[in-house]
Amino acid sequence: MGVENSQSQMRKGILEYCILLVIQKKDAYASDIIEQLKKSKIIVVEGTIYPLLTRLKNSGWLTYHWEESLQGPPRKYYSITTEGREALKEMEQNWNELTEIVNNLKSL
Amino acid sequence: MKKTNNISLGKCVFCVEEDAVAKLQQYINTLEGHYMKEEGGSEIMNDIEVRLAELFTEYLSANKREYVIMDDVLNAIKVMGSPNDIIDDEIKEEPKKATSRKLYRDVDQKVIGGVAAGLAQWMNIPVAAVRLIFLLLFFFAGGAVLIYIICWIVIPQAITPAQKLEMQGESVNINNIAKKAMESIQKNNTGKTLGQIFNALFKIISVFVLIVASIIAVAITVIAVIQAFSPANTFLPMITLCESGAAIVILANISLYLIAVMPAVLLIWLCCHILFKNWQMRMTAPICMFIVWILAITTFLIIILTQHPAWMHHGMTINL
Repeated sequence: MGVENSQSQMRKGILEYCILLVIQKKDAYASDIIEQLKKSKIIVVEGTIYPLLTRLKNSGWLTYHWEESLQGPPRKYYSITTEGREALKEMEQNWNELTEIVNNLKSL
Repeated sequence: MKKTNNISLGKCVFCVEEDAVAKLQQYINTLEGHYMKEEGGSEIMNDIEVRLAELFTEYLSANKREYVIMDDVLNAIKVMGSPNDIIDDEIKEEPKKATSRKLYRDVDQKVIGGVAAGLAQWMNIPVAAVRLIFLLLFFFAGGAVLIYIICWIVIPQAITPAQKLEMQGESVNINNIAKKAMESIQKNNTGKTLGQIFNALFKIISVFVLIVASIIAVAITVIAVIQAFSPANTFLPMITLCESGAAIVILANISLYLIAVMPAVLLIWLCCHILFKNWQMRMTAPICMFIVWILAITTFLIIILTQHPAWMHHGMTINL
C-alpha cells in the first residue's frame, strides 16, 4: 500500500462521479468524455473508461445511441438517465460532505 | 518488404504488418482474459476495439499510409493504456497470496487420466510418490482401480490457464495467466528430458507390475483348472453348498475365479497399454472388466447367501 496505490484508489472512487458530471451537461461520445477527463487530469489512459461506462450503463445510470461518423465506425453517444441524475445528486451531496469533513480536519 | 495481414477490428478492415498483428493480438488477448470474466465483458471489449479502429484510421490518414505498422499499434496502446495501467487497480484489490490449491486432473502430466498428477499438485508432493501409492494399491487391492476410476470421473480436468493456476495454488491474475500461457507454448520445446526419464522409470515399473500380475493371473487360473477336475468338483474346498445342483456350484466357482483374477487382468491390460500403446487408451475394455468383476461379486454373494449352509438356518458351521 504505497502513496501511489491509495491515490489511485481515491481517483478511481470519484471517477464515476466525474463521468456523470461530464455527461449530464450534454450527450457525449466516449472520446469526448475522455478528452474532458484527460484535460482535468483525472485519468491518464483511455482504457480505464470503457469498463466504467459499461458498468454505469448496466446499472441504468447511462444509456446510449449509435450515431454515424464521417470517419470510422458508428459511435456510441452516451446520455444520462433520470436514475443517473438521482444518483448524481446523491453523489454530489456525498462529495460536498466529504470535502467539508476534509476541510474541517485540515483547519483543526 | 514486409508481409501484411488483413484484420477486422471494430467493424473495420485493416491491413496490418505481421509483427504489429502479433503485438495487437497479445494486447487484446490480455484485456479479453480479464474482462471476459465479468458481466458485459464482450461489450467492453467491443468498445475498446472500436476505439482502437478509430485511432488506426486517424493515424493512417495523418500519415497517408494504407497499412498499420508497429508504431501505430504502440501509439494506440499508449493512448489506451497498457494492461497494467488499466487493470492494475483491480488486481491490487484482491491480494490472494496463498490461495488454497484446487483439485483438478493435471492432463499436462497425465499417464492415464491425470488423477495422480492432479492429486500430487493438490497435496504439493512429487507425482512419482502418488503413482507409486496407486500402483501398490492396484497390486494389493484391486479395489483401488475403482477409486482411480471414480476420481477420474469426479475430478474435473484443468483446461484453462486459470484452472492450471488454481491447481498449483497460484493467484489468478493477468501476469500469471500470461506466464502460464507462454509456458504451455514453450513446453513443446523444453522440459522433455525430465519427462523422458520419468517415462522410462514408469515403464520399468510397468514391466515389473506386468510380470507379477501375469504370474498371479496364471497361478489363479492353474489352481482353478486343477480344482475343477478334482473329484470334489469344486474349485476351492471352502465352497461346499448344500442341496444345490451342480450348475449352481459351477456358477459360484466361476464367479469366485473371476473375482480373484479380474484385478490381475486389469493390471495386465493397463501395463500393456502403458508399454505398447504410447499412453493412449480407450476406456471400453477396463469398464467391461470392471462390470464383469462387480457382476461376479454380486452373483457369488447371492449364491452364498441363498445356498450356503451357514445362512440357511441348519445350524451348521462353515466348512473351512
